[in-house]
Amino acid sequence: MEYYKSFNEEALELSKSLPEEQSELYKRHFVPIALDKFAAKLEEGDGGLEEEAILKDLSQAALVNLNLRFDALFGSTRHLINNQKFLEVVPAKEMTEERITGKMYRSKEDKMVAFIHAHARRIIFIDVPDGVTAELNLLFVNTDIPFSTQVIVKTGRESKLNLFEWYSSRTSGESLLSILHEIKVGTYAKADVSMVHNEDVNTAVINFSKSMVADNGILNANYIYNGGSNTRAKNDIASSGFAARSNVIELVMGSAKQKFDLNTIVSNLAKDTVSDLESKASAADSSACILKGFAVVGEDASGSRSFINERGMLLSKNAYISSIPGMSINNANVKATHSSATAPVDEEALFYLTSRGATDAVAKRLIISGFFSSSIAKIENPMVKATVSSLMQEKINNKKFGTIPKLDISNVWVNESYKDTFQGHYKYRELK
Amino acid sequence: MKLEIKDLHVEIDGKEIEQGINLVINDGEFHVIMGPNGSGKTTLAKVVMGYPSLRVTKGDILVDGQSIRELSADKRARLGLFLQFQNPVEIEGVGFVNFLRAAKESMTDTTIDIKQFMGEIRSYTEKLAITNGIIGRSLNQGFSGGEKKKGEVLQMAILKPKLAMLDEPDSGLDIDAVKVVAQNIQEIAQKDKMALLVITHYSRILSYMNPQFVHIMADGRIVAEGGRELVMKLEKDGYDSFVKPKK
Repeated sequence: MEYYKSFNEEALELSKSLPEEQSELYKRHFVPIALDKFAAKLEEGDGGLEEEAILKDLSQAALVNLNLRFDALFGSTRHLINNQKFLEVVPAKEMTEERITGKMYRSKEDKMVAFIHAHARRIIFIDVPDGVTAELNLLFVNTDIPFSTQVIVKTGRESKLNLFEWYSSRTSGESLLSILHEIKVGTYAKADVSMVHNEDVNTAVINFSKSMVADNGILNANYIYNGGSNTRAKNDIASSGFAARSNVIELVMGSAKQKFDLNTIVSNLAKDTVSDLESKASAADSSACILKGFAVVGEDASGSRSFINERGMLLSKNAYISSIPGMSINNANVKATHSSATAPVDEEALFYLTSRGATDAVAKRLIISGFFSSSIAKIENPMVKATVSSLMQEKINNKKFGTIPKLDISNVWVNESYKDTFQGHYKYRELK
Repeated sequence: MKLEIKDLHVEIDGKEIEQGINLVINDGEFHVIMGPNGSGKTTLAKVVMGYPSLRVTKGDILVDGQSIRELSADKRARLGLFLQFQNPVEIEGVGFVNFLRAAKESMTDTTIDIKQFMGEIRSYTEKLAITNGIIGRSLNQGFSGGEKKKGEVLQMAILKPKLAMLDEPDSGLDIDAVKVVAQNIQEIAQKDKMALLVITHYSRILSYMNPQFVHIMADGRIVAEGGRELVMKLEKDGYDSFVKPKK
């Protein structure tokens, strides 16, 4: 209790001021989220029975529409657990030194991290023992009370984890959903982690994660951003063991005045490691998206391969996408490629499709779906794949987000055998 | 369907491409436009289909007596016009079948049964010697030149327009494929009572087809009109005999 108190006080102090926020560059290139305002609301307390009713209501809607069983539902202050296997929820105030020691994040790394450390009401532990296969579906719902939680995931040797996290909202005013993940993938283990953010228009989103992949481990991380008002995300994925592999897919579908600021760092830190980051964003109306993908190749990462592919599609004149791929390579014996391209909807393609009788709206829908389809096809979890396709259709057709959509895959064509033409530099194609 | 092009002047980026085209295509007729590079053949087909960056400065395009100048491409398609592109656009992630189904549903305002639809597609893929591979791939992406052209003919067969404009259906095809494509175009057109407007540089494809009307274009104008005999004359004398020397 005492240890947590000092940890919490330090985090609280750090969350209040970081000098970088004062710089003009920061102001220009980062999506602002007024933490002070939410910090006060977070201290206000309990959502009570009303929140429990919202959770039940949403879970029922999800079960009916998605045909998906959630193992746990987390509200801003309350939670319901249907299946305790592999899952432990500890109130933050009861955290002990042993459980905090060895964590990957330090409060001083980022103001947002410090904020979550300071205000998380609970810590969710997901622990998959050696050789075990686990599947967990979690629903996170923020209400008018801001949401702040930490998730710590550990997968044992030769284990397999399929983790699907769905984020949604039920608010009437401004709110916040802040979540911090720490993921350790064990030796020869495979973790498929999908986070689908579909918060409502009142909710600002902070999504930070740090992952490490041990020897011969595989992490497939899928970050889908469809909802929220302002989103700040920083995901740091390190392939730190021999021949570890990280495949990261980031998909952003912006509309209205949504703003997304995604900073993703993939690191190859050991021999024969592979990191593959694919980011795609579409921006409609006056939405904005900044994609900052960065690959780090460590000194010991000989024989490693790093790929960054950032693509943007502008759907209106007022939309904005900035993609900034970067690399820091500290070993000569590596393969590394990066690419970036952003463009409006191709007029030639639009004319081709409309000349066959498709209306402008149908043609645009086909083009946008096509833009994302090769990435969606790479997502291994079929429920995530179907959910993302459904969310995308809902946004393109009805400009709606934030609710749990009725899953309709009748018009979704995901071609399993489809291969993206982007294969890195031609010299390295055979290596992928 | 009757298509009338009346004294059509078209410009792009301030440059006049078409300089007074007059052409009438009646129900079920088979027309051919031939001409040297840059004579305005492709622009003519595109402007009839409603290509957005082409500006009609004078004249009109009528379908069954009604002007279509203000109609978007999809509305023109629904009237029964079809353009087979010289270089079909590659569109990432849009499945060939998915697209064709969406287009057909838009055209007919109905929901199409996928099994029946696939059956219809397969009946044409066999005739056109199209490998099943392209059906499952993204639209025109990674297609060879020949596959693209065959894919366009397949679309024509499925969408059943009233007038199909085929812009160089023979380019990129080997000798055997030219014969297969030409015979299929004519067969599909006859079966569905389509009018045809074939644009080509070469007479090779016409040895497998029977056009009723041949038009020669040069410098944005139709400079000669006639029947098959014009093709023979072209073979013998080349385009120079139809093009006025520039002053």
